[in-house]
Amino acid sequence: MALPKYPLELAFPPHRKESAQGSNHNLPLKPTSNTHPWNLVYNSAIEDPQTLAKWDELFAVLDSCYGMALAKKEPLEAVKTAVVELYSALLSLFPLMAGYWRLFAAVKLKMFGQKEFVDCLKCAVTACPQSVSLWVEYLQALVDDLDVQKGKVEDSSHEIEKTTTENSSKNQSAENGEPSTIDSASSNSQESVDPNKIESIRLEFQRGASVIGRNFNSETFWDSYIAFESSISDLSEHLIKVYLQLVTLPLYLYSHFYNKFLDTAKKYRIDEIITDSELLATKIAPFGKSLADELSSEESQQILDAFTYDIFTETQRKVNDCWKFESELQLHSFVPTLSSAYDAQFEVYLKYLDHEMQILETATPDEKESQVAQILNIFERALIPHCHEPQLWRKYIAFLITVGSEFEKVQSLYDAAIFKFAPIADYQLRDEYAEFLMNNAKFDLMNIDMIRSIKQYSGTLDKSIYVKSAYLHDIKTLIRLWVQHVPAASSEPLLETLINNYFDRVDRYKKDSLSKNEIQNKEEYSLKPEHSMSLQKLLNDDSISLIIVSYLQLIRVSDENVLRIRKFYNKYHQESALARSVQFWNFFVRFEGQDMKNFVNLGHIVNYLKENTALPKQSVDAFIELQHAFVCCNLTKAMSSPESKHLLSPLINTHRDTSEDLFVNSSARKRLSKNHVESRNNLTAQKGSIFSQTLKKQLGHPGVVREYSPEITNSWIERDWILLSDVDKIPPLPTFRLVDKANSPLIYHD
Amino acid sequence: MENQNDWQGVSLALLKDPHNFKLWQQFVYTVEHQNGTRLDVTSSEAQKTLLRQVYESFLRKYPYICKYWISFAGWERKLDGVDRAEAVFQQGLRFLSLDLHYWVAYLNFLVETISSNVEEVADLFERAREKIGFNYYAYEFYSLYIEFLKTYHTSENKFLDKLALLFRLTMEIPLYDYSSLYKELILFVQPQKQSLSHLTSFLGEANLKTMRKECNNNNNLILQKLNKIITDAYIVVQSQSFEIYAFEKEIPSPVSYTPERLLAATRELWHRYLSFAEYNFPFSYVAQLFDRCVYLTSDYTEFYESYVDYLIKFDKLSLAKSVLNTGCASVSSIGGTVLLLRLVDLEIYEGNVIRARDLLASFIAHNKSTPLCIYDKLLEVEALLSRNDEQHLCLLAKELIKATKSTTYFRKIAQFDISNKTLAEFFLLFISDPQELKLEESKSFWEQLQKCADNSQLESVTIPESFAKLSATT
Repeated sequence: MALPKYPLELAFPPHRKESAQGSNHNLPLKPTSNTHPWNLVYNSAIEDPQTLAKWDELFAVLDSCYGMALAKKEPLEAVKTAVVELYSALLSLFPLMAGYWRLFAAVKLKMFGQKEFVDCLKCAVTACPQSVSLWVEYLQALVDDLDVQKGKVEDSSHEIEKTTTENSSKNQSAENGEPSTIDSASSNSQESVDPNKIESIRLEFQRGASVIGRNFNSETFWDSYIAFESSISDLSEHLIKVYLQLVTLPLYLYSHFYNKFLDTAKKYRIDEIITDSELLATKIAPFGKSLADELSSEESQQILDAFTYDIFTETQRKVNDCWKFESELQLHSFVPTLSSAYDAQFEVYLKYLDHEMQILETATPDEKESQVAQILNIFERALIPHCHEPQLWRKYIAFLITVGSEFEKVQSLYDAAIFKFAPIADYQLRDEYAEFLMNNAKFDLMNIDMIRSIKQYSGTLDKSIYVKSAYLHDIKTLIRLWVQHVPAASSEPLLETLINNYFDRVDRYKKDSLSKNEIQNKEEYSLKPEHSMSLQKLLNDDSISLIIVSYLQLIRVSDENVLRIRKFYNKYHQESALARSVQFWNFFVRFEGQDMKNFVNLGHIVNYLKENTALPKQSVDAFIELQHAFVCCNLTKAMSSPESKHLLSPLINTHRDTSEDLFVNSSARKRLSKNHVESRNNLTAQKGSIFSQTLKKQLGHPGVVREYSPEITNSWIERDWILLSDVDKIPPLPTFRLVDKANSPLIYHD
Repeated sequence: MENQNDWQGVSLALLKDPHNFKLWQQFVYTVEHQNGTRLDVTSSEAQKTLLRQVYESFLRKYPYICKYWISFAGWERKLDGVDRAEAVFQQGLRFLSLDLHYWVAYLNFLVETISSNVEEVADLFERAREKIGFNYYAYEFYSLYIEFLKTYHTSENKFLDKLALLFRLTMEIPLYDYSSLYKELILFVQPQKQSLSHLTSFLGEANLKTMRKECNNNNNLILQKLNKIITDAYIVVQSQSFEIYAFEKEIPSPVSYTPERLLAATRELWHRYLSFAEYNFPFSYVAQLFDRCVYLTSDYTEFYESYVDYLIKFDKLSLAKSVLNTGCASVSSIGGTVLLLRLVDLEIYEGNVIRARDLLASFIAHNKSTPLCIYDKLLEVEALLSRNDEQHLCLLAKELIKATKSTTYFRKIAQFDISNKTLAEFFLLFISDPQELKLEESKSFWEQLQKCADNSQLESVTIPESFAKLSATT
């Protein structure tokens, strides 16, 4: 599986019950524990979760297993749990895939029954609220549920129920010839059903209308809404309200709904349609009357026609206006793979949004509200297929802030983007969020959410993945905000405690008395101890150095702290966590070299770091060169010191210490052999010697490692030059090493 | 070219294109074949003078090509006798003392023309051995040496003792023709007239005595023992020669000189060869290899630098200095300044500050343009010489900024131990008189200014917006 790009992938695949039996997650499970036929397919599906064909195959296998088990009358529990688990796994990764939600619901209906089915759909519309089809199915299920209950209550007569359903289906086809009979039938049934139930369903319909009512392709939803209302009563106040809302919306089938509205409106009185009494009065005035009751049926028809026609032309204009964009929006569902068609459509969405925002700017105050709703709807729709586009989230949030949306709304949006959809690599979004929270003076909330985000990337959660760069970035941001907003008097001891606790690991869970020395200031905040505690638990070797450097920079501001900084170095510089931290060493090299100009200390620091750390060669070289530069600029000081030879040694050794040749670069040799895998594993052996020996073996003919090279152990070449006239300097006879092994065969290491 | 053999034509062409190596070669060829025939003793004096002049100017231009020195000496020998030829050889030695081929030619010439100067020639052989004795292809030299010692030995000059010691010493050197050398060695070891006295200088008197004791004066036993040692040594040298061969076979011979740049692969090979040698051979062997390497790759600072690193590791600072001196002279490109800076550092380390300044000053005096790093170093040396005189440094920095139009000195000057007050005055000077510098673009200027100046001084200054934040964040 590729590296995670989106937050939801971090904890994927979710923890499975079956694998929990194995004690060690790193080892493959024993074959015996994998008796279920779907496990194999499951493994291949989680390898590459983007490939939906594999999931389809998996679900097909599960389905056939269920069928088999049912036929053989075997226990169904295992299959049922697996189905729920696997669907939930996929949908936790891709919650916006409405198609799989529907499949899931269908399976639930088949295996668990009606109640689970409805619950599942309810979850679905919460997780994926912009799917029209899910809403339709959900609401239909509610209505069906109601009908079933109705059947139960009215167990005395089956026939009436039947007629009711027939009639309601007739209603749906919008052809009613005998209004009176239906009226009586529905009113009959209405009496027998709990009105609270109906009211709650109506509320769900209204919720649906507010969420997806403005979706350009939401006709199926509206159809079922109308059907629902007219099944209850086809002359109710609710029904006409629905119609009045519906006809103003720019929808694909706007004229279809308009025609239906006209048919329905005929049955209502004019003051039931034009509820605004002032408007009604202006409409009636031309006829020289003051009350709607006084109008003749022709007159009221005339008013109605004019009124509805106005609505129609307005809606038609809107539809025509957005049609040039809507016609290009073909891809409404989310797919986990990238494609150029989606990219192209994304551009259309952006243009569409810009266009609608322009309209908003010139809109009259009356129109503003509906235009804002319209834009919000487009945003919501766009975020289904393009939920991984940080640009879109950012645009959405910016828009919400400009229209003065309430804090919670913006926050929930940030929440969804940061913790679910926006790419992990988009650090800026999280910084903006922190900034947004601080602008709203929500320091505690900022802490909670930043720590939550840090936790998400820290890899400490069960089976989740460590995203180092994102994790470090968030820690950096958090610490920066702390230093910025918490008074120095309390942020200093705070960071100090974090560092001490991290290395000592003793009183990690002890409550410290931070709150005592807090100085309350209007612009500054105090940090709650539980936040620093939870951060403490999330620290690792990578992040502690960030904290250390911010701490040092904080106390560096005052010159009185020089001793403190040096003590800090003495206390901690040998920690292995810091051996990899470029920042930590950078701070001290610059502190002693640039600020303090203390070359004795600088020498100690550089000597330590070039032999004992695990820094990359590039940084070590940079530090050595920095030391050289610092010494060169302060030769007077270095030369006047009693240890001048020692202090001046960077002058001749800099190139040697940065050389690639490990023979002359002895500090690098020491550093590398200290970190060499063999000397790490083999503590008893002489450190360094293994490394040098391996190195020497590799130097000869490439690819041929000679274990034994014969040599002369007392070669005269090692000593002074001998002239032929130096008869008294005749070297002793040579002695040898490994001569007998000179012809031993080469050993090839695999 | 129309007239390939026309000397005048070639020399005219050379005037137009003085760096064309091919033309230079033709230049020499045409003067050797004036009027269509090769010069000989009967040629006119004018022709001979022309020949000399051409060779001399050629060798001034390309002093490291041993072929032409040898051939020049050959001409002199042919035209004017031995003395002039030897003078040419001596002259060439200034450049080619690390060239095996040249030494062999020179020594051959000396042996061929030997008269009463046997001791002098022997001394020259020793000098050559010091320079090229570890050369992988030095067998040619050694066999000449052995022949010379054998031929000219007398009872006074003790050449036979020297020969014995020579065999003892060469026994440990890995050579391309190691087996030929060992053949001669084995012949040499054989007893002469039932006596082993010729081995005194091979084994050392004390060693021979103890061996005699151990073997009860049994010559056969001694020889057996000796043969065992020689066989072991042979195995070692063989193994080493084989390993070195992998490197040596890739190195182009210095005889086929071309002025083209080295191939990257060849340079890489040298690096591998050198680090192999560093790990496997003693100092003097490796030092000679380094010498040979910088001689063959004279235009690359990297080898000089590795050599200096190697010498510093063994604390041979004066040797390192002389290598750097040679490097500064022979590396033509900008890389030479790197070596100069290292030399200056080394002189400062040894306390020769005046010498360090002189080196920098003479570089600046002799070069049309000076890289910034040289000026940087000069500033550092001046700081040391003036005992950190703040005014002097600021003045110098101002001069340098004026001369170079570079803003890097704003950062540099702040690294010295100069009080904030003086530094602030220095910076403020540039605000009133920016000296054609683009101060608005120099981050370091505003950064340093805000660091050292206090608020009252900054009041009258308008800091560009992009740099104004620097002080706020730090």
